Amino acid sequence: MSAVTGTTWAMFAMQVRVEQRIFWRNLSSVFFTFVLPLVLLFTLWIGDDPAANVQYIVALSVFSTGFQGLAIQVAMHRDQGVLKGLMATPLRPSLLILGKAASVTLVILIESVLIVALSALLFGASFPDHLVALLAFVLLGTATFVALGFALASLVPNAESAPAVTNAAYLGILLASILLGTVDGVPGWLQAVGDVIPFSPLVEGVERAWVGPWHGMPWASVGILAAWFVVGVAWTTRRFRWDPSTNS
Amino acid sequence: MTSAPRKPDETVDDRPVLVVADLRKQYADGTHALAGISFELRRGEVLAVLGPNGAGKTSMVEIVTGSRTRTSGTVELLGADPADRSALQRLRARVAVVAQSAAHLRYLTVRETLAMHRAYYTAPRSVGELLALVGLEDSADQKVRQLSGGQQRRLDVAVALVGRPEVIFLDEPTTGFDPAARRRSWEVIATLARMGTSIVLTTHYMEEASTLADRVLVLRAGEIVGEGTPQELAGSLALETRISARLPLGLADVELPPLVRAGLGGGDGRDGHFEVRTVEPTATLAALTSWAIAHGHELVELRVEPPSLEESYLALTGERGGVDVAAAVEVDA
Ligand SMILES: Nc1ncnc2c1ncn2[C@@H]1O[C@H](COP(=O)(O)OP(=O)(O)O)[C@@H](O)[C@H]1O
Ligand SMILES: [Mg+2]
Repeated sequence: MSAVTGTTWAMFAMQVRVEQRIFWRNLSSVFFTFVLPLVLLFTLWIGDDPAANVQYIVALSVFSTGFQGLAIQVAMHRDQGVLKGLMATPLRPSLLILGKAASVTLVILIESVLIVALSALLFGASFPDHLVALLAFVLLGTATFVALGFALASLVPNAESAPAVTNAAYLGILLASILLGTVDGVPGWLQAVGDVIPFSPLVEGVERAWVGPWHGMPWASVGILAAWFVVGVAWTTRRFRWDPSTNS
Repeated sequence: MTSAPRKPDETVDDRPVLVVADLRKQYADGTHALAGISFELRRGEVLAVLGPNGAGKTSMVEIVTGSRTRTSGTVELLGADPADRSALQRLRARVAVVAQSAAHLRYLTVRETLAMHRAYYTAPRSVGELLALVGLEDSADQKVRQLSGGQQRRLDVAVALVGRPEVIFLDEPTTGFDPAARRRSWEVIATLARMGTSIVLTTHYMEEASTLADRVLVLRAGEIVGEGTPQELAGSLALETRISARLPLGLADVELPPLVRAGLGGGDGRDGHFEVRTVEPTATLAALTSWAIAHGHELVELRVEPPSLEESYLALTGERGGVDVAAAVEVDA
């Protein structure tokens, strides 16, 4: 209770603590965050060659937790008036966002470690070959999707439509990325579009870091993710609402 | 306003805490919420903004506290313009808002919520003091989602007090409360006022305004239609007593005394029912009864109803038709 208060650091540390608390206490957010990778892991386990596909689960959990999970939570809190209440205090918006980002990063790191450990345990999948590169991609992906998650939340009009809007965006991006990247007979220009969809460069990076000889950082993927990060931040700065009402 | 030697410290000056001049708000959909209002809040004063739903109370509070843009007019809160982003950031350490549509994180306990808000201020009140101030000691470890409406509102107030604000805005702090809960909230607000906090309180309860406020603004459809101390306001209203009765043979064939005829109105006329509104109840009643006795009429179901504060407020805000008292209450203009 006698801790220093009112400093930037005190506010940031408090935001991270609070975000962690409310995440772990909300059973449905915990369930949806962890159940998806676990179910996918299980389907791999009963298929053939499970170890070859573990990296996609890591990429997918970064995407779903950072993007869809965050956007839905932010939209709900805005609709309830929680964000509006916080904005009436000296807490700066940037600190609130950074606190959320740090908390989401923590959750994603826990998820990733869990996936790697479980897949090693269940079907002897090898540990990632290039841990530092993998970590770099997980962190860059998280930053990008948190920024895009806030941008997506700006597009959600109210809590009722939050699941529909966020799922449409999430599944749309996922599907487009998979279809354009893997299906045969897709024209070259469409494939190129598929390559810049935000999920694709994350998969590319995680794949490269996971297995095989190291051919250097895939800078194109880094660049695309970074560009989406900038898009997310710019959109959020201009369009994000803290108030439940859409009419000013 | 004599110039006693004063330190160049803005916290000891006697300038108003808040000055609003010709404030207008038109929403994007065209709604005119505020039609040019001007008022001041003095240091240490409790100002009630009284008005029915849709009068513009929330719009005013949100604009003045910087969470909404205005269409025109000027606002000066603690010497700064809340529409200026960097000024607003500084104001937030000194001004608290209990907004109508704000809420707290549902999965935190009361204690955790207060601890979170303490991190935002350099010299916050302790959690124990805050709990005691609003009487939430027994619910300290309950989750926000488990609190009753009244408890949540008290938590709102506790949160507003964390940073020892100089000015507090309370937007309808007791709407929807039962009378006991309302009285408890009034005690909390009265305590704040005693501590010297300047308070703007919006409400649609006349009684709340007259109990708590030093001064009342009556807002109707975005305009200030009355202003003064609760006493001035009540006095300035020609408070009408209602006298009603039934004349079985009907009103058509009788010649009522002038004093009665002047106040005639209301009543449905069925079975000779009539109602008289008057600011001179004694004389009117005397005229009516002596007339009835003289003519041998029986005043069936004779009733005399005193004016209520509520009634006068309803008249002021135009919720009860027919009486134009807006002109009668420009006491402090
Ligand atoms: N966000 C908004 N967009 C459009 N109209 C609004 C908005 N908020 C309030 N209004 C309208 O402005 C008027 C004043 O509303 P408000 O300030 O909420 O009044 P009060 O708080 O006194 O009930 C009402 O007619 C209301 O419908
Ligand atoms: Mg209101």
